[in-house]
Amino acid sequence: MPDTECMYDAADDISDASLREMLPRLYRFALWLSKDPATADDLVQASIERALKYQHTRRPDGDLRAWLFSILYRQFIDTKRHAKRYARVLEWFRKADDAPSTERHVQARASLQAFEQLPEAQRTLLWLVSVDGLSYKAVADMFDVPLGTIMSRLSRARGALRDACDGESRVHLRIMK
Amino acid sequence: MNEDIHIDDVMRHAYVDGRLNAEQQKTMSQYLAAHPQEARELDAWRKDAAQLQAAWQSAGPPLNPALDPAAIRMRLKERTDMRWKLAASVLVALCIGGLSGWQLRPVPTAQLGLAVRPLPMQDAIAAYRVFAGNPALRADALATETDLQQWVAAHFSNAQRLPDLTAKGFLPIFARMLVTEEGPAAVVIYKNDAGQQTGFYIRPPGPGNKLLAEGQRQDGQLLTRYWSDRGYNYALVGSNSTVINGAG
Repeated sequence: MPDTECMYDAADDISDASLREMLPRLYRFALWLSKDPATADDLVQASIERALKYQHTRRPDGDLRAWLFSILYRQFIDTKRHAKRYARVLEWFRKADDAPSTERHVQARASLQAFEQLPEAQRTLLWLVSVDGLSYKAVADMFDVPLGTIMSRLSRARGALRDACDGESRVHLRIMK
Repeated sequence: MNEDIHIDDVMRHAYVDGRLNAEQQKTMSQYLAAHPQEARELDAWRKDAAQLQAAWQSAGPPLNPALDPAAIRMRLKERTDMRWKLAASVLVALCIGGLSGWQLRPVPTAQLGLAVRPLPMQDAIAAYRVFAGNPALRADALATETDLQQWVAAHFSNAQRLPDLTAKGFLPIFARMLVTEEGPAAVVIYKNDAGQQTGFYIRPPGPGNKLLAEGQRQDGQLLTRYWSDRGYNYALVGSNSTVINGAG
């Protein structure tokens, strides 16, 4: 019966407490992906619903956060495919950096502009590792690839970001002349 | 000596992300001292990572309370229940629509009198069985909230009044609209103190304007009385004692 999907509270069931604990980071990931608070709300809600419905498919030894992130990411990719929401500007990024010194602000902006030039998969990987602090093993779980693959992709992503940052600096220098 | 140190990608990235323990950090420092070019590259990566982090340091908007897992769990359950009820009511409508349509199918002249004659108001019995037997199904009107007599009058103009079964201890409890091929129908379920039920059913006679001569039919434990009046067909379905002389 349909009720069994969300009614039982067995020991292996995901508790509200553990989901609640993940919520801020899940939301932050959703906000980063969607750049829009309302869309982030929708993404998180849809992901938790999905997690509750399909909790029996989770590997018992797997990282809960990695599993939730992977559901949210897939959800985001699906939404994007259908609604073409991805063109939204980086409003949230800009808001995030109100107070710091001009120098830091300029640097951060340059870095972010460079970051935005990277392919989406590379950006997601860098965000998960550098901003969220997800463990390498959890990222590997999330995308269901071996740890070695994640490490080499991370090297490529970091190299690409560096190249893009160098490109940005050159552009800035030219403008200032 | 440092040439012998083997550093893999995990170590490199853990250095960039500040995830090395003291011993690993020491090993890494020795290695980088011997490889200045790589040291410059890893430090640049480190700076990039720190800048990304800095851009995301602020707390962000407060979380929407609707995202609390308990709230989501509850909404999910409500939706699942609602979907199940909706599916059940669609099935009911299909069954009843199908039955009433079958009654009206044209019968070839040669077979008249020989063919199995459709039973009148079979849809009333189907509706009664479904709604009297499934308390979980949603009602369109409840006696506790709506005057069911007025509700019927509002949907079926000039129809007979609801049968008064108070003498037999039955009161109307809830009503439900249904779709049939003859037009909108309704079933009103009555109950007595003992929890026994009786159903009153009303629908238009349909395009064939097939009004019924008064009659009754036993179907297992259920007795159905049917009649027509004021442009509608009616049926009363329930136990023998309730239905006989109950209305009409």
